[in-house]
Amino acid sequence: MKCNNKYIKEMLPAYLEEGLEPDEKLRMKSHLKACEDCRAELALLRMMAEEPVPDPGGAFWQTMPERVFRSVQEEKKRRKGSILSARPDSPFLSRWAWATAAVGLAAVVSWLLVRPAPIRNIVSPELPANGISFEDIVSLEPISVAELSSTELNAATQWAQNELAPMREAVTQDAPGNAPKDVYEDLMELSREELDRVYEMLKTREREMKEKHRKKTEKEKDLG
Amino acid sequence: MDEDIDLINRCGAGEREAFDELVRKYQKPLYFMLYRMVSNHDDAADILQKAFVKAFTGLARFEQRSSFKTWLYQIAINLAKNLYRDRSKAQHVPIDDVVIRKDPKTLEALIDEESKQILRCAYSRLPEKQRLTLMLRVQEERKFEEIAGIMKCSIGTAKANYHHAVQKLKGMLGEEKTGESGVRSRESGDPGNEVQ
Repeated sequence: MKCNNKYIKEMLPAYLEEGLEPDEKLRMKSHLKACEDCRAELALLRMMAEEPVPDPGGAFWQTMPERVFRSVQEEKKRRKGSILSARPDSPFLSRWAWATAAVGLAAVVSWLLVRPAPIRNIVSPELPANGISFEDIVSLEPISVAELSSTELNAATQWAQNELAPMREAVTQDAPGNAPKDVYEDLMELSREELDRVYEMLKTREREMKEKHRKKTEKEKDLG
Repeated sequence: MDEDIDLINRCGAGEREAFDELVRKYQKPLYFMLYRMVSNHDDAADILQKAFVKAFTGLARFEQRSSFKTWLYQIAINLAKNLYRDRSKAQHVPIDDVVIRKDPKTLEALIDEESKQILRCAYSRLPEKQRLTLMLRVQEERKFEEIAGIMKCSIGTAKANYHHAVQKLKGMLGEEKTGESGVRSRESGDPGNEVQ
């Protein structure tokens, strides 16, 4: 009759090895007396365990460490050689060298693609038509237009025209029906005295705007 | 295990004596296990050397999650398995060619050389995992915990494989009552009941 006692079945090899505790051994013996299936299984396991393995002899065991050591050295040399250099009889690099080169190339390409654009001097003041820059002629301190010579005035006018042109274009684009006034032409038509007056008018206008802004701010403060 | 770690560290530092000591410690049990797997000296010796070489050249990859012994056994068993698969060796004698003298209806009767031949034959026809588990438990006297580590499975799986192996062996050896001739010829291993 088949025995379904899993615990006993698991313990059979340990019983064979005499590796059971005394109480477990006693329990096993008692079970085996009554169970033919487990007795048969024990016999089977004993037969397997007693299966002999021929011993290859002392020389085999004594020389094994040396053989292993030499094989290890050879294997290490072989691996080192294949990684670091191409084999002399082959034009191809090892796969590791190719992989390393591919990774390096990918890194360089990536850097070239994502690096920030070099900063260019986008501010390149153009020379006026006469070849003289405004900075060359006047100082950075504000001066009276009346103090400018005709040459200086011409340069100033040219500079102003250059600065105003893009603004004029932007304004006149929105109102194509209005014929834009050519400021440069108007300015060129003015005399020195008239230009002075225009300058004074602009300064007065600026003072008025500032005063208006100051009063508005004070009023907001009083209300706030 | 601590002793092995110490030897491994000394090996890594280039100490030849530690290297030799590790080889001497495991060469015999490993060889005997391999012989039971491959059934001949040349293959067993070849795999033994290759297993040691693989272990020592790969020491940097040994993460100490298991003992060095378990790791070494895993390497050796895998090499032996690969040999099995590559060569597709037939290690057994067909059952029908064996003369049964004793009454085959009970296992206790199988005690002479013919009986052992039948056992070897049946054993070799077990599914691989069951055969290995049975060998490690009965012939190598490894505990189920060690077997689980070597076979990279749970203890429960190792026990289940062991049980199925024994049942299958008994079945193949004619434990079941099959008739007057005693031993019935079976087709080579139904792989059923092999637990992954």
